[in-house]
Amino acid sequence: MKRLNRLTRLLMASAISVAAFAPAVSADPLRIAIGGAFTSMDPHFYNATPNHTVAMHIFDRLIDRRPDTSLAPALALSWEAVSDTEWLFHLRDGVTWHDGEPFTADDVAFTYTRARDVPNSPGGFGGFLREVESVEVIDDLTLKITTPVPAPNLPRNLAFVPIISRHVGETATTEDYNAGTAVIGTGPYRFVSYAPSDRVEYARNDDWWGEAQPWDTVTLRMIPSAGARVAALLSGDVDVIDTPPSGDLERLRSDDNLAVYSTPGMRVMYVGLNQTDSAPGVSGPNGEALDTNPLQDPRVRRALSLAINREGLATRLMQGAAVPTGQWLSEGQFSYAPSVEVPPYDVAAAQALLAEAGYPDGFTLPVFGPNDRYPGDAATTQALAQMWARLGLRTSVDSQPWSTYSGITGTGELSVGLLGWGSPTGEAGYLLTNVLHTRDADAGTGIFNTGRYSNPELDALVDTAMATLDDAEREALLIQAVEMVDADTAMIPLFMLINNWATRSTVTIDARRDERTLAIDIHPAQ
Amino acid sequence: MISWFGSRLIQALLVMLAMTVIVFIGVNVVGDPVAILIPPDATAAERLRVVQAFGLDRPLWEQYFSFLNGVLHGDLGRSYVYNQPALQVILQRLPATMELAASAMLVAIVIGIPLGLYAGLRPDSPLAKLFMAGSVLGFSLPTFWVGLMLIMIFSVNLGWLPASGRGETVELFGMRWSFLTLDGLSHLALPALNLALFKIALVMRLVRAGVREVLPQDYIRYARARGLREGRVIWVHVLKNILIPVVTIIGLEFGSVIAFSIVTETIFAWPGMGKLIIDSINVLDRPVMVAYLMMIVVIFVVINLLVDLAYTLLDPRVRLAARGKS
Repeated sequence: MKRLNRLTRLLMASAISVAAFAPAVSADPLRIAIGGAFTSMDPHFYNATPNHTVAMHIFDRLIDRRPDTSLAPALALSWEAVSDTEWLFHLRDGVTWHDGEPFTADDVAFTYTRARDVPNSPGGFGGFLREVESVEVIDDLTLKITTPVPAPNLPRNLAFVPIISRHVGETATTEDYNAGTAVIGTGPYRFVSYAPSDRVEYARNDDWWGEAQPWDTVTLRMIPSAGARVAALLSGDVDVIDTPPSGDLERLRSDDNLAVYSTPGMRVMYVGLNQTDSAPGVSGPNGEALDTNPLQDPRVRRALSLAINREGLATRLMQGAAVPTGQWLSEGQFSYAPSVEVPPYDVAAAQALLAEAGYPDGFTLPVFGPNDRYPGDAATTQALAQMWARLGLRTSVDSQPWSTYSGITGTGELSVGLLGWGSPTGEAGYLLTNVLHTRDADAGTGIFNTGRYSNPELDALVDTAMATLDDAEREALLIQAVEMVDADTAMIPLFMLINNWATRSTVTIDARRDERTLAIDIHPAQ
Repeated sequence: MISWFGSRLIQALLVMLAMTVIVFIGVNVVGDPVAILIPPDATAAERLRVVQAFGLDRPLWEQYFSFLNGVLHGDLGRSYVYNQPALQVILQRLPATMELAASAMLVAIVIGIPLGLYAGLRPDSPLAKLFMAGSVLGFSLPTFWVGLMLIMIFSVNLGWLPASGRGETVELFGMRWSFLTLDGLSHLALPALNLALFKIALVMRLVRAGVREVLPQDYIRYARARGLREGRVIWVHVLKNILIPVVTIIGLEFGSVIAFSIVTETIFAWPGMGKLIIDSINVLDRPVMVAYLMMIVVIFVVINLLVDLAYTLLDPRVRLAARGKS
């Protein structure tokens, strides 16, 4: 009896000391509502932001991205390029899966095979793994990845691929993930339940290798209607919402019970210009055919750029949800070019340039854009057409739903179109390779080069940069390329979209450039 | 009766076959789902793989016949974005929509018929005039606005009911229903009321007009002259005779509530089929769009069949006509 008593006392004392040393853990549940539609619990099925958001709570990546898009160690503690095409990754020791099995390098090798080959997948993760030619397991905690060509963006791309285990993943299908049986990760939260089109519920994983998380449970709800999302926040149904409508931001900010958090995002809105010999619909001032496509003249492109009042677009039309830009990254990001300024709004200079290029009377220009894809897209298209009309061009507006507009962006039929491009890698090379490099299906360059822009000098510079593993050297080359794009007005950047979140004042959130809303970035307010 | 039922069934099948052609072609000429779904930086090879996986490389007629063949085997295709059979994707969301539609119709009937009766029997009383004025609002206020107002009043300001989403569910007949839990009912109340407002006004006006039309007729006067209780006159002689148009409308409205409660489902983030079809159209998830429209056709056909059956119960003349034909 006495021994039992002592044992009880000992247990109690140790429990108290554990409680005393444990970080302050709140018992509150966290409730998040996002606007995007997540479609599956399979982390490799569909490469879309809401699906990434759902998966990132449960699954870790080899390498993580901080909210500002810089890289951080996750399942890999460190990595280095040992030759031009070989990388070594040193993995974290003592990590376990949610079912208790240990995590090893073999799981990573399995993941990189599975992720690019999910049956019926509408594509997605193949792109992140294009540079992974082979994966070699050196030992349980060391991995060698061979790339077909020098691939400086390999770590940035691997930061997108959630790691799954071989012992569960080998036999699991997408159905098993949706049913919840296969959703075993190493991440900060465990899977609890999934209701399609409605919500995902998580519980904290106390064995996670990272910082202790403050939330016992997390509910991630899907509320696509912006008004309904705001109402859910106001009524206290949820603690955090993403993308509140820009018209409501002032009201949300002025409410003492709420707070708004913002950061410039990764997506640039720009105008793509058709630079083929005959741009459809581009004709003389009275509709007569022209001998040459005026958009091939850099002076004309510059004139179009100078005629745009970016400040007005950002502050009035976008109601502050955008920052004017002359490039496609934000200050502080890798390969942002400080020398490239936002083009000034100067209609007189633009008119002079047009006259100099031989179009004193302007020409006819149809302006295309989507109307349901980006915030304010239809209004921006109209504003562009009006600003160019002021320059003396005969413009017309054609706004289309994304489901049809996306069809014509790839055909080369788009003369002048409003487009958006996110740089998930957080560096300039991704846009340069895909949007401005000469189109070459075999080499996989210029895939989204809607205007068929082609500049051999720029191509050479981009190719060199993207084969340079040294970060400082590559950044210098990329900045040079950004300057070249600006000098030639290869495209017309308009503004960077700002990501917004609104929260109850009981919590704070680290706003992420990559639009994701993650429980690990949300903290109880002090 | 049986041959009547048989001919209705054949009609229904022909309607559905015609719908498959219209829907399939209509859906397949809009946009390019691959361009929407694949990442913009996908290479030609990656793109081709998706095109082949979806079967979009085959000519349209071939796609159509393999779809028809699938339908005969109970397979309506596989969703591009959910990677599940399209029918399963829809059926998962069916209970949510059904319980929302059924509660809205129930509210409409329980409130609409008594109010309409009252307004018809006492057309000059101030209360009846108030009901009729109210019904104008029920007709004319847009659903999305009323929905937002309901949320503002009952969730944000008063804090009585949750603003959106579906509550706790329990499993019954293999599907998850929320109307059996208190939490579920509290989530159901506002969207159901929002959907019901228009129907209440509609049912009320129909009933009132019917009553006004029937009351001066001879058989009502004779019934009264026979000394029947007023209650019996109203419930048996008046109500039964005005129910045919009401049942027709309720049937049609029930179908459209199931198929097109999109606005309410969007505002209240209700995870039903209406929200699904909008999501699917936005990403051109063709199998789900086709399966959804097919399903709606089936629902309308079934409801109309039930409405016809209800006629035979309510109106002896329909019953006799059907028998005469057979």
